[in-house]
Amino acid sequence: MRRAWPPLALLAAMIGIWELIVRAAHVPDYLFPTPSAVASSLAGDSGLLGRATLVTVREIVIGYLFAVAVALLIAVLLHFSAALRRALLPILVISQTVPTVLLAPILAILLGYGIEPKLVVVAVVCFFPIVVNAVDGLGSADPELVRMMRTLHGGRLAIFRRVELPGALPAIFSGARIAATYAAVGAVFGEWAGSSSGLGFVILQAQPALETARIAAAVLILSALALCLYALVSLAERLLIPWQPEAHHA
Amino acid sequence: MESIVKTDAGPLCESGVGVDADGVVRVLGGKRVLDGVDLQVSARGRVGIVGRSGAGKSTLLSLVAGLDDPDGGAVSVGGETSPAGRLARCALMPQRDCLLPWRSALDNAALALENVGMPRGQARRRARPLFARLGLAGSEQLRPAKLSGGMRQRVAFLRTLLADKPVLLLDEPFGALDAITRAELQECSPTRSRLSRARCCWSPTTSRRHCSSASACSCWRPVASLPTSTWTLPVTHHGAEL
Repeated sequence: MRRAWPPLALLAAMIGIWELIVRAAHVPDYLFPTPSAVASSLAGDSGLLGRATLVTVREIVIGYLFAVAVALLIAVLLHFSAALRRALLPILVISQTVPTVLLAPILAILLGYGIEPKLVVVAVVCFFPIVVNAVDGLGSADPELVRMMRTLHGGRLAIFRRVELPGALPAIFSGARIAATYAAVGAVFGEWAGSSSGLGFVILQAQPALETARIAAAVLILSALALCLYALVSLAERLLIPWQPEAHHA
Repeated sequence: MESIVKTDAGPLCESGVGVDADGVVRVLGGKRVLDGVDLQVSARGRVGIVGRSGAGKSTLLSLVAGLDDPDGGAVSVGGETSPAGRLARCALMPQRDCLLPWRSALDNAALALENVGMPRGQARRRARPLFARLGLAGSEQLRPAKLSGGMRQRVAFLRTLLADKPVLLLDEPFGALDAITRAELQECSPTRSRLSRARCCWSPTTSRRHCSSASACSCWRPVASLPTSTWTLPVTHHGAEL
């Protein structure tokens, strides 16, 4: 917990300076809200924001888990088949150059206005760093450990289960942590392309009404959600990789 | 390096699992690390290979173990020349202990048993009694990071024995230890306690006392015939003693 103090103190100081500057310059709230205006929006619109948050959390969590599952499956397939790796990996890289913002409307047309297109957008945004890191991790097992396994009746599957997979866990979690920070943005893109609820929808509605404080409040919640997901993934990492030296955890 | 090493390190046992290297050549990075090595070890024989660092001792061992194929000549273990056949017959203890950091000492030792499909609980039950014999009692649940260098090597040694193969290849098994620990380890030798059914123990090592004969790897001639000592690895039925 002691580690948390320096960033918290800095954050508090920045918020204080922000409040002072906006007040001193007499900037109207609809142009640039003070932190206190954001706070009162958080409290005043708690019902609206709460409902929207639940919708978005669902999209983030399900979409993220979907991404992890698909990414690990693809990574294992790529790991076992060099031919597939050569064929599919470049296509995966190309797929990442398609901007998700543009993909979302097409998915909305294709899949409707329910939760499905949002899940797909979240998954598309999240799965790539997990796949890349997992493939790298699985492929970078210590060759001496693999040779040791071969002399101990270790077949291909045993080597995968007992050497490659546990050895790849740190890399897989690196990817999963990066992906966790993308998930919230993915959900908002999905909602912007077509929705009637969620934090992205709240932002979309608040913009023409110049409810800037509400937008800021929604953004604040979104980043808190991303932070929570990141913390949960880090916690899972710590539980699943107990042999990893503590110093590695950020 | 023209050379011939022949050892009559013990009587041929029924299974006849011996090691035969015939004109073995191995080229690594454009350099002929092994150049026409001949070596015969009869079943139940124990041979120590002595040589300077870089002389090719480990290279020879991994060829015999079936991990690599020679670039010239032939290697057979118990008559098997295919790498898969040699792998099936040889247990190799690598120079580095190669313990898996995510497994406890006990699960590391039982690795080979799990690899052949034995349920984990049963594999542990079989490995557990051996810990006390090697002075490792109480450290079964520790991960390798918590073990000392000597303990790690003992666990790696146990793991090699539990592979239960007729040929044991020990690549400087206790080389990383200080002299005192090494002596202790050789004293508490699991070999006396009939831990393995290994019939052929072959180790490039400086501990000549454990070998019935030693060969110098640098010039490939027998150095000295050493008395058979504590390294008696009697033939036992599979797992009967464990």
